[in-house]
Amino acid sequence: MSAGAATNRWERFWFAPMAPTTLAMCRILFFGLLFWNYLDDRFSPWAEVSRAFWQPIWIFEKFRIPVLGADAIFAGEIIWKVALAMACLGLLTRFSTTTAFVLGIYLLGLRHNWGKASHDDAAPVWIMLILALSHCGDALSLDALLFRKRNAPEALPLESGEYRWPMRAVWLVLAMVFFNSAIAKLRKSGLEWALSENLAVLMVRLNYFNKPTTDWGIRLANIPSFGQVMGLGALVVELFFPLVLFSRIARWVLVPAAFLMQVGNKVLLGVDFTVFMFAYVFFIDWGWLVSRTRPNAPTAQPDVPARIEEPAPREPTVHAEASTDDIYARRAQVHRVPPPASPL
Amino acid sequence: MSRFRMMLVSALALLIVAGHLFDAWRQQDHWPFAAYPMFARVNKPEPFTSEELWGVTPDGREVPITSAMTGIMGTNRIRPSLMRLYLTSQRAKKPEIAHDALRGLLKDYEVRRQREQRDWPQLAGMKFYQLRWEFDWWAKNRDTPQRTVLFEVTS
Repeated sequence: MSAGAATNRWERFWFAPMAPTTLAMCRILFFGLLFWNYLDDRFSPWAEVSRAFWQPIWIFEKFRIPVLGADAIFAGEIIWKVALAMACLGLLTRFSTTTAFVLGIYLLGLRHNWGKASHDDAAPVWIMLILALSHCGDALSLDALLFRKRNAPEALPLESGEYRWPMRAVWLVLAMVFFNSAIAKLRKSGLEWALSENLAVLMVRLNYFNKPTTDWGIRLANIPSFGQVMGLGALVVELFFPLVLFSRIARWVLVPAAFLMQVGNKVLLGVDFTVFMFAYVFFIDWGWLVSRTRPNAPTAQPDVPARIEEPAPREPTVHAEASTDDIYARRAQVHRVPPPASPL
Repeated sequence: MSRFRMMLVSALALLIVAGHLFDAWRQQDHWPFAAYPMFARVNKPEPFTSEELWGVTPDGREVPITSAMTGIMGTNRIRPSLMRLYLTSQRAKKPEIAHDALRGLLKDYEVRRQREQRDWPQLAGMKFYQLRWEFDWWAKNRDTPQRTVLFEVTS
């Protein structure tokens, strides 16, 4: 494949034009779920924990990030939760998503410095960064509402690559998480991880510590070969999860399988990945779903750039705030279609 | 979309991939990058251990310390932390390292109990136990482990 063809494929994968609805719904759900999940959590008590237990993770050690005083952490957590709510509503979206990321990396990272590093909130931190860099507030947001009232009668925004790359980036994060998890198992234990009694023993053993909501883990572990089948299934799902980046079939199979696997972790093992699971909202085509739920919804169109009708020659209409030339120029920029010749 | 934005996104994608592959190669965590090594080791049906923190009341009665009693750390963090400090103190032949940490926990507990006016017992000491179980496929011995005191403190 030539360099030009590879560049084209790269750009099509990341930046093919897409309507903004799906990304906007993901923003609403992701930040809304984070807000709901952390609303009752307190972070300021970390300031009072004995330094005897301080065991800084890489990012806190490398950048000499301190444990702030209780009042400062409390102020930070209030601002963070307000930012999560604002990001969900799409109010001052660039500012609120950036604030949510910056304070989130501190507040969520803080708890990993005390003897145990969990892995449930690393992916959500990446997703907050991705959304902070994205244009996720262009639709279904208070910003869009205020912007439209002030500026233009045109139903903005149009399709753009800006609404596709954040979805792809979140998929990439999840692909790396599952892939790394599979690699860790294979490097530390090899295929014995799946083909031995390992998973059945783990299901029983975690019942000694975690006290899951049911005793199904113990019951299932005692079914012959159940552990091996589940172990092999888990390893296959994790190892091949990166295929979801390229294959629609893989998305239909592997994403629900990974979701169910994590539900199983919670129910059978008492291992909680709730925050991580919020990322699955990025695999749902909300734009398509929204269009189907509207009355008299048009049938789904293939995902190709829209054709722009050539307008009949007529006198140009000049709006008070935006000319038609401006609209064609914007459409042309998005769809890479030359604007119609000026009738003048 | 501007060329600059495209390059920014491409750089972010490469950062995500490179950082995660580096951690997978080194089998280390550099949060928010991670190797995700949880449950990666093979478990066998053989005896296994865990740790537990207990309090001692002034009349000598032992009471289990729940997560709520330990503040934001929770027992899930205190257990591995105390074990790490215990092993460090054993290696360095400085038992005061682990004792000071446990005494700090006892002091924090009393402060929290009085400040939050909880219905928790007053404690005069704490004990850090190691629990050992023979593996049982039905976990029938879950509540009857062999218990050994690793170290303890009094106020």
